[in-house]
Amino acid sequence: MPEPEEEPRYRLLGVVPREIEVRKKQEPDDAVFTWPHFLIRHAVVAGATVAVIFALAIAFDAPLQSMADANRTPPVAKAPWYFAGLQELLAHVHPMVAGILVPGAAVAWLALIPYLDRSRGWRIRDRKLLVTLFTALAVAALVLTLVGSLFRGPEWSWSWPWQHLYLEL
Amino acid sequence: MASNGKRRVRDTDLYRSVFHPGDRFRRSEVYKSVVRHPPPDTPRGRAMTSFHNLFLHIYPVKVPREVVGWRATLRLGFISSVLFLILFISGTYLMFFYRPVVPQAYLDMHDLHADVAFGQFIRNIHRWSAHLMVLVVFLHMMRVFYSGAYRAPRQFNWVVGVGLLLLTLLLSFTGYLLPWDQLAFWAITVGTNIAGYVPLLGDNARQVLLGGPEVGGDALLRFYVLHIYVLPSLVVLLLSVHIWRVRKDGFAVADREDEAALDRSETSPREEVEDDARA
Ligand code: HEM
Repeated sequence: MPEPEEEPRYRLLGVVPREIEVRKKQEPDDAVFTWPHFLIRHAVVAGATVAVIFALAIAFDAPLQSMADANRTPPVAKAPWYFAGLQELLAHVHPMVAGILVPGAAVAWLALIPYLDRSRGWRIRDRKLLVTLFTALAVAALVLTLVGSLFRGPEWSWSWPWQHLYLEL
Repeated sequence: MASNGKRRVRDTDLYRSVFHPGDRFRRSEVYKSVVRHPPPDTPRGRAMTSFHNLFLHIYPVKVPREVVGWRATLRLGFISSVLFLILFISGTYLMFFYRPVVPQAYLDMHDLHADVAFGQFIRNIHRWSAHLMVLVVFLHMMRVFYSGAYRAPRQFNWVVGVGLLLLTLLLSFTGYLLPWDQLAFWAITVGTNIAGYVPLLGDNARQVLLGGPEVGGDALLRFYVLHIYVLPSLVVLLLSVHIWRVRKDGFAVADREDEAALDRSETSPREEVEDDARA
């Protein structure tokens, strides 16, 4: 039988990363049961959403104009409102730029945001540059969309929405 | 003895069937075979709500307290999902009464309003939900951006989200043509003119999209197939990934609380580990 060793021996079992320490700190009591606390709230929000849609559907009828006719051009042909911003841009710059380059670049940039963001924290003050850029683009898109959908009339001329609203949903 | 008498009254079938009408139902074999777990007022019963239900399985058994409050997400992603479900159901109803053929499509729309039970109402629901969904998905993206919820480990879910945004826009756009009225025709005509400027492909891209040089019967059929089959399938696919990722990574607010707690604690965990090592 081998002699028990006098000196204790040590072996590295593993290095504990910081993250695991964080998990340990989380108090288990700080969580609540999904049923009923979370699910009930989701049920209420779902019900409210349905109620709003029902109210809209009762109050407003979806439009149905006369049958499509390629030979009868309307005074102004507008894209759906979410593309009205692009249509407005189209009135100012070359279609290749407004129709392909700008939306393409915008979507590409949007998708890459998480990988371009090299800031240290998630708070707005940690990400000033990115937040400024994003906000500027969002405001630009909003303004273009509003102008395109509300302030444009026949032949894409300027038109005040309170005089005549050329907008169909 | 009065309390004893009261209890006896409460135990009678008559009392129970009046004041607890669900009891008998809940004791029935049918109910038990469907729900299969104890009433969800015990911790075990509540946990079983998530464990034993396919649909509720996407929910964790417990959620961090701050996730329950509406400020965590403004519920915008959830509302988007609800709107998608409403669109799915109302759209199915509309499909029974619609043929994607010129000029029948337009005539069907007329019949839908005039002859079909709840036809106009369901169409209204479908249309307003579609507009609202575009808006709500945008707002959801804003919320995610400003709360920094796209940061690690959620980068890829943001990319999936961008895919969902594009699909939402395309779904709304393809649906816009289907009534085949003047509004639909000219909106899609100006919308697809842009495709003619795609580099290298040019007019070919537009032709592939429309199935011809102009918006016509082929375009209607193409948009229909995209609208009722291709795009919704892709949404279901991406949405499954999207919500699965949220389930696995947890909500971003929960991480925040950890960070804040760490900031508040006097010793950082690293120091603690080092202390342990020294001890
Ligand atoms: C069809 C459209 C979409 C649906 C139905 C949807 C659904 C959801 C749901 C249900 C959640 C859970 C949190 C909540 O309720 O807000 C969520 C979280 C998330 N979504 Fe979306 N989403 C959509 C589009 C987008 C878009 C366009 C983006 C961004 C470009 C995005 C990025 C994210 C991210 C990063 C999270 C995790 C946020 C967190 O952990 O706080 N989603 N989404």
